[in-house]
Amino acid sequence: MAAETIPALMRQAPELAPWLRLYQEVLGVADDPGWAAAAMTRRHDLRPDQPLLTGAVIPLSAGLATATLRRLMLVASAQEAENGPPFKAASGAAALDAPMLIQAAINEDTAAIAASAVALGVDPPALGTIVQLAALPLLRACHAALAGAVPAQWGQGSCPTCGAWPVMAEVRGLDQSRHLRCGRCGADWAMPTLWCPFCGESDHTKLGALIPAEHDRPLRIELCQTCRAYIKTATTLRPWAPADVPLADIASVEWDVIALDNGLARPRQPAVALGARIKALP
Amino acid sequence: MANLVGSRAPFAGTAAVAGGALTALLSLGLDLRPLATRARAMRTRNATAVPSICPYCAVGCDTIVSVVDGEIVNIEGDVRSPINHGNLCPKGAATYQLHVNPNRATHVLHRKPGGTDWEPMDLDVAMRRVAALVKETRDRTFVETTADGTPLMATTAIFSLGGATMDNEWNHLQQKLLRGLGVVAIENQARI
Repeated sequence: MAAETIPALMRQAPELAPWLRLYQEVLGVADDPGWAAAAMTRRHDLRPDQPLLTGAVIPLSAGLATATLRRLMLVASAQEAENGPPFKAASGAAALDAPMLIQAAINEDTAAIAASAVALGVDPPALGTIVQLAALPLLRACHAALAGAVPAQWGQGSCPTCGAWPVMAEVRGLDQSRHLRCGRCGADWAMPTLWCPFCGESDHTKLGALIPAEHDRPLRIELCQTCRAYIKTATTLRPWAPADVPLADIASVEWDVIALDNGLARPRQPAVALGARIKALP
Repeated sequence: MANLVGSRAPFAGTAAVAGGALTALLSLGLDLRPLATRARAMRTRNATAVPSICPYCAVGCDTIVSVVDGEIVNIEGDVRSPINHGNLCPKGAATYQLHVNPNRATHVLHRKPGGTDWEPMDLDVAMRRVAALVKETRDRTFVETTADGTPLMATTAIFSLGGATMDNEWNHLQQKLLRGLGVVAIENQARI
């Protein structure tokens, strides 16, 4: 679906095009067999409530990581955005440590990314977004390799594979089963009814939703009055493919603005301290 | 409405966290005025979901009642329930129509003896008429003892037939009232 969705979204909302071009680039490099070859050793000493990548050591080709990050930086530098020009210089800088940055992205290590941004002379939030995108192929490969090990009854709000907060929820199929979706590795896990994935609130008087006044929009915001967080929830017939989750997120970004206007926000801190490590291979 | 032009302050430091689409767009320093305009044009309503119990039978299936701006918009089975696991019988699944139904009669209709048309009747008048007829029939037909002197305290002249939409509480009060009057023929479609 992603290949057809991106041009349609660019026509529909041209202001999203810079991010969509970056994501198109991610999809282009995701087929490289080097990601799947980054065979990681799954730890068997994890507690049942720890994501599968907790403390994982992930061997990754430094060349593949660097080439991916450089491609994304060059695409970013070509955008008509305020952060464009510095990325061209940074993409060729000796200080660019792609494996370290991808490791920081996987661990949602804001401080490490900010420090690299300063060294490279680029904007820290913009670099944060680019390295998150650069980490997607690896995270999806890890999820594909570990999917069979995801506990059937995960019961937590954060991703069972990479520990990230979910970006969307699906109310799926005729049975209206509820699933949370990770925008990074693409994981798909069951979500209880009347339950906040961010703080665990289950008192129905503190949970609510913003729904569209027009009935033709199959999307709503489910919100928690306790932690003031929200999750965009879409009605779907079948599961989104992992590559489609970020597109569903960007295609519904108006709802994030509405949430912001209603005093809601996504969590500002990572759900877990993942502590994964990239082992750079020559 | 949020000013999204050059407004990255609320998101500073969050781009490295998997912060979702809006954080990513803002981190790239994009002009998001068209996005803000589209969001402004969208209208939303407040919805809540309230756990409840199907009113019909003694199984007590759990339901979730969805309410939008104070009005019920949907009633469905609660998947968390150990009783019904989200399933509802045909009656329970139609509970929404019990509450919201344009065909529902909202005032008393009365057809006079020999009449051919239903006519609106004041509720107080109707209740007094029903009470008077019940009392008159009960007093006329009430049997205190049988021929051999056995206490009976009943009337067989009155029969109560309840419908499928009478809930547990209504049925309880209905049988309590009628048994107090000595009515023994009490029936109700309380199960599917």
